[in-house]
This record gives sequence, structure tokens and C-alpha cells, in this order.
Amino acid sequence: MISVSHLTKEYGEKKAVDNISFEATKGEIVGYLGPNGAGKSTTLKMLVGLLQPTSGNISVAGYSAETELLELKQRVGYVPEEAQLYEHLTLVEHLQLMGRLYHLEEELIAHKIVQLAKLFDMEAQANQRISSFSQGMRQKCLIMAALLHNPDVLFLDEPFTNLDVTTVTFLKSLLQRLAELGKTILYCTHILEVAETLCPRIMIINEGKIIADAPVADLRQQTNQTALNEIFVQLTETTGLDEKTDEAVRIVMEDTPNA
Amino acid sequence: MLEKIAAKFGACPIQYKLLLQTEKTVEGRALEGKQGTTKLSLSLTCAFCFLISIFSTLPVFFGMDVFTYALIGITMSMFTVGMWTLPYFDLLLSPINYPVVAHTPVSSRTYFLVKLTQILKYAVLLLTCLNIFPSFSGIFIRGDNITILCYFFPVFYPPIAFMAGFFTIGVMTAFAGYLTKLYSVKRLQKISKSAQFILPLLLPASFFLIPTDVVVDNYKSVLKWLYVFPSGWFAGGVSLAVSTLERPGFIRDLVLTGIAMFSTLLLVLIPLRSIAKTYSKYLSFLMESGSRQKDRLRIKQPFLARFFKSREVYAVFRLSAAYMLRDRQILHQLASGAVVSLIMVAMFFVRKIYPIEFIEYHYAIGLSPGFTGLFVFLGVVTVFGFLSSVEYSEHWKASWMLSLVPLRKPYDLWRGVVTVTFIYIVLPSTLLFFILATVLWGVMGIFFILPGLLVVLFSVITYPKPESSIPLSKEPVEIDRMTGCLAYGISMLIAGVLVGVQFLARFIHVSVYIGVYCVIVIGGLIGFVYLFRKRGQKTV
Repeated sequence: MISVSHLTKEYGEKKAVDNISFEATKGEIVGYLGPNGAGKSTTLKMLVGLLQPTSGNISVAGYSAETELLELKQRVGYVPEEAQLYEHLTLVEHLQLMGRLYHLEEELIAHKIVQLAKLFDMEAQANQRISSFSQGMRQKCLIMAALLHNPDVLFLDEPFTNLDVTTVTFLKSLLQRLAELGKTILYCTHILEVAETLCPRIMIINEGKIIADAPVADLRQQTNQTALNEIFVQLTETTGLDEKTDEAVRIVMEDTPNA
Repeated sequence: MLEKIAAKFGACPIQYKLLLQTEKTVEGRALEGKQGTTKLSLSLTCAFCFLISIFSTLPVFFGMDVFTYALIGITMSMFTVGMWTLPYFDLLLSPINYPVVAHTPVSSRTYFLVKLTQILKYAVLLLTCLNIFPSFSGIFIRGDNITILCYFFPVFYPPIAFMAGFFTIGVMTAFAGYLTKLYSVKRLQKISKSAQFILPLLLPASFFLIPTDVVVDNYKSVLKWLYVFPSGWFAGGVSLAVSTLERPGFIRDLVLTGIAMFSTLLLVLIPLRSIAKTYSKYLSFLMESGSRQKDRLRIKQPFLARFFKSREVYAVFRLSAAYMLRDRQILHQLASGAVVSLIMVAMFFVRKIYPIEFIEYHYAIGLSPGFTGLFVFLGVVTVFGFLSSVEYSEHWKASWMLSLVPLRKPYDLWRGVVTVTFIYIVLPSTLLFFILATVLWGVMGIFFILPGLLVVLFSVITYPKPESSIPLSKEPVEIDRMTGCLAYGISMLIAGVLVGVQFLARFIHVSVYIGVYCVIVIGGLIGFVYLFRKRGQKTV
């Protein structure tokens, strides 16, 4: 369902994504982890066609990003990291806009909006402008829009940000069910607890390179750690955590430069 | 007594009475002012209204007819009520104290009726002060068409003056509602405070600005233009009530009364509905019957959708139309363009730079360069005002959504914007000018519209689209006015050439003129359709 080979994205001298390759099969939920600025969001933006790769090949749902971008776009759902929305629109208007752009019929759009608004507990806010929404509600807007056109592949960049516990639990369950039905999900996050429970397979990216790609159990075995956050620290930290903490404490405790 | 009336409308009389009392106390304290700035108290306002009322009676001593007398009195009354509404609007209409009662079982209907009573109380009080003297002094009006009913002037005049007052409050409420879309509440409060001082100054200033000699010398010919103003409609009502039936102005007064009644009903009901809607939004948090009930979400099938072949065009049409009416940046641009255009046109008329004769002046089959120029000027200014600002938005970062979707023809996005321009700007302005042309030239009016319409249509279709075709995708700080100015200059040049060619053709022969006219209109329409289709065929 997702096939990436030798994907690179350069910004001048800097390589945001450096020659990565991976594959994800139908019905798989892959956790894509990494520290801030590791290249997670850049990878996702290239996969959904928002960014042009410097080199490498992308294929999603059987369509090449280079030659069949329109077909590829029709089959993906994307939740971006930041909830940037047309805030003067209402929730209904926003979802109608997205549904129309994905060529859904008006009747189907209306039906899906009503059902999704009910499921995400947004019925009361459906005709209110997004500008009046809380961050959590905006996140729900993005998720609903990503699911509206029944995509084959879902790219989720920190989808649970600002959501309440009930919604997160519901979403986790929903994503698992969708995966069982054959949807492929690339789940990008740095919240490891969610990734650990939701994603059977974990990929870790650091400084643009994939440094680990295996099921959680295998990673535990490889690193001799039990918790995913310990595995993550061990794989991504270049200097020791204790030394770094000592250094930070020393800087914080300094009163004046001459003290 | 008020409680009994409120109870008939479904409010709880005890809650109504208590809330009304609380509102009165809160308002009284708000009027006391703070930080040394004393607000104009109600008693002072009433005294001021009495003074205006006395001034309004003066025309009776100059032997004016009923219509003019009523016109002056009602204009003064409407102007004062309008001014009064500005500073008090926020105090009366904002449900700022709703959280105080939000946790209590007060129904939204009771709360709304309390607010409505407050508005009506002040409106009635002020209108009484404003119209008490003109009502009684109207008995002394004398003229050829006056009947014995003139002695009942104090009975006929107040209801009509009150209706005019409610109409003004309706207009001001609707206007304030529109301004809230353009400005923040704080900014609006500042504007209303400034308007409180500036607008009353305009009244005496208007005596110097308006060419009064024209008004005095040619009152009869100027009079018909006064029917355009709402005060003229209500004055027609007064005239109808006390004048004879067999007189030349009877039909005029009848029509004016009809317009007055219809517009009052329309304008009072619309703001009231809007206020009620705002209240219900806030008061939905009140506990109605002990539990909050959720309305089932219903989505209507959009009527216009069936007329669009491309889903993308329709999607962006809806997006751009929504932003046209909601984005401050775009609204500001459209409003300022419209105001500047109207002021310029008004200046041309008043100062005879652009006299009406020039607009009426026409050749052969009746094509007027003046009229075309006016249509092109207003049409193109508004079109470019919109097109140059629709590229930008305060929510420009959200344009990632339009990049994400599978678009076979990216130009479809811009076609959505172009469709908005046709439907929301070109169509209404064409209709407006068509009506004007029909008034001036009858059924031949259509020939006066077509050349101007062509220039406006071409200005829309040839406006340089943004490189990405994506509307609302640029940060407003980057606004580039050069493109708009250049396109505007070219449009004006085309309009000038169009008029010039026809002018020359008329000098040669009338048949040449007709031929040139037909070539311009038919060729222009074919060219427009060709360009419109050609642009839409561009694919990725």
C-alpha cells in the first residue's frame, strides 16, 4: 500500500529526509516516531503530494507520486500537524468543501457529515464557525475531513493533539477497526504511549534517517529495554541522558555569570 | 401590566418583572459613567430631543405644505433616533449580563422579552419627546388640499413618526450588525463614540455643502428626488392622512405610504430576528424545562450545486462566496471601493462635474458614453476590489487543503472565484444599471447596458489569475496592488476606446454606428465565451 524507496528531501545544504526506504502493507498500522525536527512531517508531506521530493520514489495505494499524483491524492486521507483551517467557515461548510473537492455527491456528503458530527460529538457546533472552536474541536474537524472520502491510506501527523481522553480512546479503536478492514495507516507522533498501544510496527527516524523499523517486541529484544520510551531514548540520544541532565541542572542553578 | 403582556407571549411574569428591574438598575449604574467620563444621561437626551422637537415646528410658520412639514419633522426625528441608537446600542443589545442568570431556570423567551421591553421603552420615550411639538403644531398647517382631518394631526402624525423611528432603529441595528463583521467590538465602540460627535456636525455642514440655491429655487423639481429617502416615504403617509383625495399627489402619497409600511415591517422584523438569534445562541445554555435539548443536525441540499458541472468549481465558489461576506480583508476592500465609487458619483452629480444631461446624452439608437462610463467605472472598481483581495486571507495557511486535493484542472479553483464575481458582483450591478437604463430610456435600456457589461465581463475574465490559481492563499502583508492597478488602467483604456470608436462611427453615418455597435456587442460576447472556455481547458 505504501512503498517508499531512497526518498530524500534537501533544503539547501540540509537533508531533512535522507535516503529513506520502507514499505507498509494493506491493513497495517505503522508508528512513525522521531524527535522534534527529525523529518517525520516532511516525509508525510511528500507522501501526500504537498512537497516535491528532491529524489526517490513514492507509491501509495499502487499509484506513483511522480506520474499518477491525482489518483494517489484521491486515495489518501491526511491529518496535518497544525490545525490550519478556513476559520470563517462552519464545520458543515468545511466538510462540504472537502467532500466536493474529493468529488463526492452532495447527498453522500450531507449524510456523512451528519453521521460524523454525531460520532465526534460535534452536532451542536456543526453550524458554528471554526474560529469559535477550541483546539480539540479543530483537530476533530481535520480528522473528520480526512475520513470523509473513505481513503485507502491514512497519514496522520500527531492526530491526537489537544483531544480529550474519550475522543482519543474512540479514535484509537476506530483506527484499529479501519486497519482490520484493510486501510493502511501511517501514524506519526512523539507520544510513545499511544504508539505503543496502537501500532504493532514502529519506525524511528532521527536526523532524516530511519534508524529502526521493526515490531515493538523485536525492538525490545534488540535494545534490552521494556518500555518504548526507553528504547526511543537509547536509539535517538547521541549523548548520555544523565550527563545532559547534570549539565542542565548546572545551568539552571547558576545565579550570575560570575558566581 | 407589562408582566401580563409578557405572560401572554409565554414569559414567566415574576422572572420578567425581576429581570426588568435588574436591567434598569444595571443600566442606571452604567449610565453613571466611570473614570471621570460622564455619559450623556437619559434626562439630558430627552431635553435635547424636546429642543429638536421645537425646531421641527418652525416650518409651520413659513406656510409649508403638509408633505414638506412632515418631511422636515420626520427627518429630524429619524436622524436623532439614529444617532441615539449608536452609543446605546451596545448597552441595550449586548447580552453581557446573561451569565448572571445562565444557571437559573429562566427561559430564553423571558430574557428576550425583557431586552425587547428595554429597547421599546427607550425608543418610545425618545420618539415621544421628538414628536410631541410637531404633532400639535401640525394643526395650524394651511393649504389648498388640506381637509378637516388636519385638526386630527396629533392623532395621525405620532404613529407614522413612531413607525419611522422603529424603521431607523431597524436600519441602525442591521448596519451595526454588518459593521461587527468588519470591525472588532472594541473598535466598533470607538467608532460609535466618534460618530456621536462627527455625524451631528454633518447636519449644519450639509447646509454649506448642498447647493441650497438649487433646492430653494427648483423645489418642485428637486422634490421627486426626496422620495428616494425613507423620511420622504413616511411624510407621504402623513400627507395621505390629512389631505384631500382629489389632488395630483394622491397616488404618490399612497405609493410612499405602502413603501414606508413594507420597509418598516421588513427592517424591524429582520434585526429583531437577528437579535433573537444572537440571544438564543447565548441563551441556549440556559436550562429550558430542566434539560438542554440538542437539535438534530440537518443539511439542506444546495440548490446551486446542480448548475455546476465541476465539483471543484462549485467547492471554491462556495468557499470564496463565504469569504467574500466574512473575511474582514475582503469586506474592507469591497466596502471601501463601493463607498469611494458612490462618493465620486455623488460628487459628480452635486457639483455638476458629471451632470445628468451627460448620462442622458446619446447617439443614434441611444448609446450613451456617459452611462457606459458610469457602469464600467462602478463595475470594474468593485470587480477588481474583490479579485485583487481574494488572493489574500488572514487564514492563508489553510490553503494546504486546496493543494492536497486531486485537481485535474487547477484553473477550476480560479473559475470558482470568477463565478462568485459574476453572480455576486456583475449580475447585481448589471441589474441595477438595467433598471436605471429602463427608467431613463424605456425598453431601449438594454442597448445601453450591453457595451458596459462587455467591458466588465472582460475585466473579470482577463484579470491576471494568481500563479497557483489558489485563492485565499497569500498572507495579506504581501498584497500587491500593482496587478490590480494595471488591470484597472487597461480596462479603462478599453472602455475609452469603445466609446471613442462609437463616437467616430456616429460622425460618419448612423448606419455605420449601428454596424459598429453590433460588431462590438456580438463580437465581444463571442470573444468572451471563447476566452472563458479556453481558460477552463487548461489541465495539469
